[in-house]
Amino acid sequence: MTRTRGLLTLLCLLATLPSLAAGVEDRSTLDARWRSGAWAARAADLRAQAQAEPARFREAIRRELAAPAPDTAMQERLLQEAMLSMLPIARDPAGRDLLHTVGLRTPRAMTLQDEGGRQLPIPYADPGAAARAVLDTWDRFDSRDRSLAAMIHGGDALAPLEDASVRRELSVRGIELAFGSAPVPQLLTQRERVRGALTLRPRELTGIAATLALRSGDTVLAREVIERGAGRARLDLVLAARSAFAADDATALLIAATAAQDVASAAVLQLGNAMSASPSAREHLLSLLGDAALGGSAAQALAADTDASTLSALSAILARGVDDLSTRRAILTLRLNGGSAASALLTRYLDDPRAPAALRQEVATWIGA
Amino acid sequence: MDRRLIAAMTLLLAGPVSAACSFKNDGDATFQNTLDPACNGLYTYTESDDSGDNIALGFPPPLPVASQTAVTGFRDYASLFARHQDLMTTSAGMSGQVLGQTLAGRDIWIYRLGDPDSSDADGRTEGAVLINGGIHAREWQSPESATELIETLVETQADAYWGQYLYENLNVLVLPVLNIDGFTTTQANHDQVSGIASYPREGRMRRKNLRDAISGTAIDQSLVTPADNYQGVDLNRNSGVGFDSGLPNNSDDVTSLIYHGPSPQSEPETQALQSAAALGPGTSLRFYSDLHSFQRSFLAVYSNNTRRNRTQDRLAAAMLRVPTNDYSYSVSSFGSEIGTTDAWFGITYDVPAWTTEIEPRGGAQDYGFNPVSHSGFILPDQEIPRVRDEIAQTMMLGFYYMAGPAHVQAIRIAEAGGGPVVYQATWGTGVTRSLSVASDAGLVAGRTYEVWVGFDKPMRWGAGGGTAIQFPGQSVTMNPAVRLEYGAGSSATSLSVGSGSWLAAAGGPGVGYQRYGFDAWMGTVSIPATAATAPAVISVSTTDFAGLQMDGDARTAAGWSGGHWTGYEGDFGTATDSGGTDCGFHPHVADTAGASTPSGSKTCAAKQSSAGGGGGGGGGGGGAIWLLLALPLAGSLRRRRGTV
Repeated sequence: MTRTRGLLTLLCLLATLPSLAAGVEDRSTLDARWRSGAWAARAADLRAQAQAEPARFREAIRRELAAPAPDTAMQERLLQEAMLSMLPIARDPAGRDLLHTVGLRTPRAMTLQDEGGRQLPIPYADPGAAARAVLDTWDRFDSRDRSLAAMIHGGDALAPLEDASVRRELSVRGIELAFGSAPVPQLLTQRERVRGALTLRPRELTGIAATLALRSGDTVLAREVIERGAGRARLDLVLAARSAFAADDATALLIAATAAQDVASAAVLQLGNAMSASPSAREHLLSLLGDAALGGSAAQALAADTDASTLSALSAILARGVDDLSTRRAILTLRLNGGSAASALLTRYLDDPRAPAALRQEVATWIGA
Repeated sequence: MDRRLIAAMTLLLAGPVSAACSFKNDGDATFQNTLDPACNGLYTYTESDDSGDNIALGFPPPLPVASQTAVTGFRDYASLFARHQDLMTTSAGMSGQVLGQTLAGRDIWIYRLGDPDSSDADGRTEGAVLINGGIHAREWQSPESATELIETLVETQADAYWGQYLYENLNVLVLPVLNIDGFTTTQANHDQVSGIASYPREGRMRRKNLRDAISGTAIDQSLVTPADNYQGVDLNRNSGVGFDSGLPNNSDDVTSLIYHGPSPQSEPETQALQSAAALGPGTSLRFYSDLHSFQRSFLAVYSNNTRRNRTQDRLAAAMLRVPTNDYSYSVSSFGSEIGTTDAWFGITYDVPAWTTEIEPRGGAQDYGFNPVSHSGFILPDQEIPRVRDEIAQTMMLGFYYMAGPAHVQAIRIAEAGGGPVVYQATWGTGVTRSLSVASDAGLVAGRTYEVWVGFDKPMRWGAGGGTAIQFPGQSVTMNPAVRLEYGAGSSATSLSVGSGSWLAAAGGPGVGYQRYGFDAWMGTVSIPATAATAPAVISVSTTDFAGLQMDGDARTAAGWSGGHWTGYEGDFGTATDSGGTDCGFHPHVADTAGASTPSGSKTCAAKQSSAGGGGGGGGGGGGAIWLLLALPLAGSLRRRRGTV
């Protein structure tokens, strides 16, 4: 297997040699030709045509596909840009048909990547990839629109999830977009449906439920997302909690989120931002300093807003004269803060006979004393 | 005031307006008129909206996240830095120091990972490896991967396995973010760029440091002051090996993406990185890699040391197979350097060195998104968890390889079923070693024995379980070739020690592993009832799990010096870069229990013919095949040096 993979890699490299020998052009050379000739202007025309006269646009693209130009690289780029210009236009079957056709196309013009290494040729343009990406975007938008329509009519806004003809992640993202733009009263009609689905399909529903919770200020649902959700959307909820919920509610939610391993550090750092509005946040952060997993995050959070009460608490930790996680995180807090009061406290620690000598030595190294 | 309006006003003051941003046609993507408004468009990356000056990627532009621990996305610099500092503060196996300051005055930290002593098991200075991250600001994959590497090394330092092996035998140096000024510029403008749409230069797409070529001070991090948006020095063109070489892909133009700076090592960031070698120390350095993106490749240089080059080729062959998306390896010839850091470390310290270009290969289209120019620098959030895991694992495999070849440390032979030990011998430690034989009672004809073989290195990988498996991407022969050879002439006999397995449980000689999981193997051998009393030898040949063949002679400790392995012998006892079969253990066979020890010594078959030791091939053999093909290939590819 190893040999096979090694040989395959070599063969791939060898396959690039003829193109190198044939003089593959730099991207900047190709781009200069693109902009100095008529190609860029044609692309601009096509872009305008895609919106205003889609039928003629499609006809023009099919003509390009049927008649390879002498300058393959320019034609490939023209086709790529034409495909991308279809992103915002009306999504009709004829357009889909064209995208499916171009989506089968493999790259035909190579260049040497002059912003990431010139050793290996890469496609100069990839109209096939562009067409496939636009199709995905259309699928997302279709799911969004169907979800929005369902909300307007009091139907099931999650119904696009059941459309087997669309990749599930595209449906999910489309519904997330719908929940991000629908009027809140319409969102609320979907609440119980979303809660139920969150339990059954947490990976797919987390982003949808999080969006609903954030937009409607629903801390109960937000808590359920933290407890039952999965994936990146849970992190997004943590990051947005302070702006979406009342200070005490946000603090309570963030404290709950510190129990969820994958977002715990982010929650702790958000608690740091909540300290000025919520005393309980500061207390919680101080209590976390000795936590093996989260103490570092607590130190970072406290360092960003080290007021007199925090300094006093840190001083008390140092005064215990022990070398444990709490002490080390207290020192880390002071170092990350770097202010005059924090630095003075650290300097005093270096001279404190109660402090363990080995730790004092480490601190001296860290602060360059 | 609207920032675009401010930018427009600034540009109006800066000079006459021309119609287009014009390339210099110097072979590089540099412009003639960088102060022109045409060269200073402002663009915003979006998921789907490509109206106006928006550039639709097809996925949400990653936003740096305040989180010390890894997330499905990219951490902001403050969190990455605090994470490093917390690990340093709380882990006995990690220390750190400031190497210098960036142009804007930010501290550049490097971290050392390893046990407090700097000696290996043989009392010599440990080998060292150095990884640099974040030299190019916009390549966010790099600091994430470097941080994952640090985290992995800390988490595994007491795993009684390969993490602990690295902890105890190697001095790992990681500089996670070198170009902090540039990196924070890109993070502060996570979805904003300026330049032209196909060649964005500032904001999220800054590559260089912040040097203003005229004042020498740091420029600001704003996009709305376009007079400085093209300024900066490419820190990967600023090193003294090949500086301003006149070859393509480094530039005298201060606005060029690949401007090499006013003089070699002119930049404080370059000076800081180069000073890191002393922490190895430099004489102990064995490997360097600079983490970049994108292209999925290792871009290396050759020196005039063919033995170093050969080791580099073999190391690369093992490492590039680790990520799930295959990486490529290409090499520039000696003399074609252009001031990159891999050339500087590789040639100055005579060590394997390369630039690791992390994925993607082409851009966002690799993940099904829009084929937007420069999207290769914007890895989608959902891809980075896998990518940083794979890059960390790739680097760890390289460390394991360069920690050195394994040798057989001890052999114990006992009668099967809990019977008496009939042979036990152990090599001592030191640069030159001697064998201590504790038992030599003879393997009696007609009886079956368990042969336990202990190595100084974990030899196989096992993902959290008790079974040895292949390390990702590797394909080594799982069992070692262990033979008991005795007799001479027509009565010469060679018995395979079979039915063996690598030992995942602790227990020591005869029971389990010695110090690290899978550092010992045990199999059985039956002595024919007709065997006559004779000197014997145990021959052992295998590779470690990265495919590095074991040392053929344990009397001299293998190490690294002068750009090649030392004390690393092949089958015939001569220095090699390929290792060989160990034949250093000499039990004897007895026709009856209690028979007297025969005189003389048995030489194993591997030492008698040029055919080698048999089963030691595996990955090592694969490496040899690779080399044969790779060398001519590398030669043919070496003409071009990449903009890495």
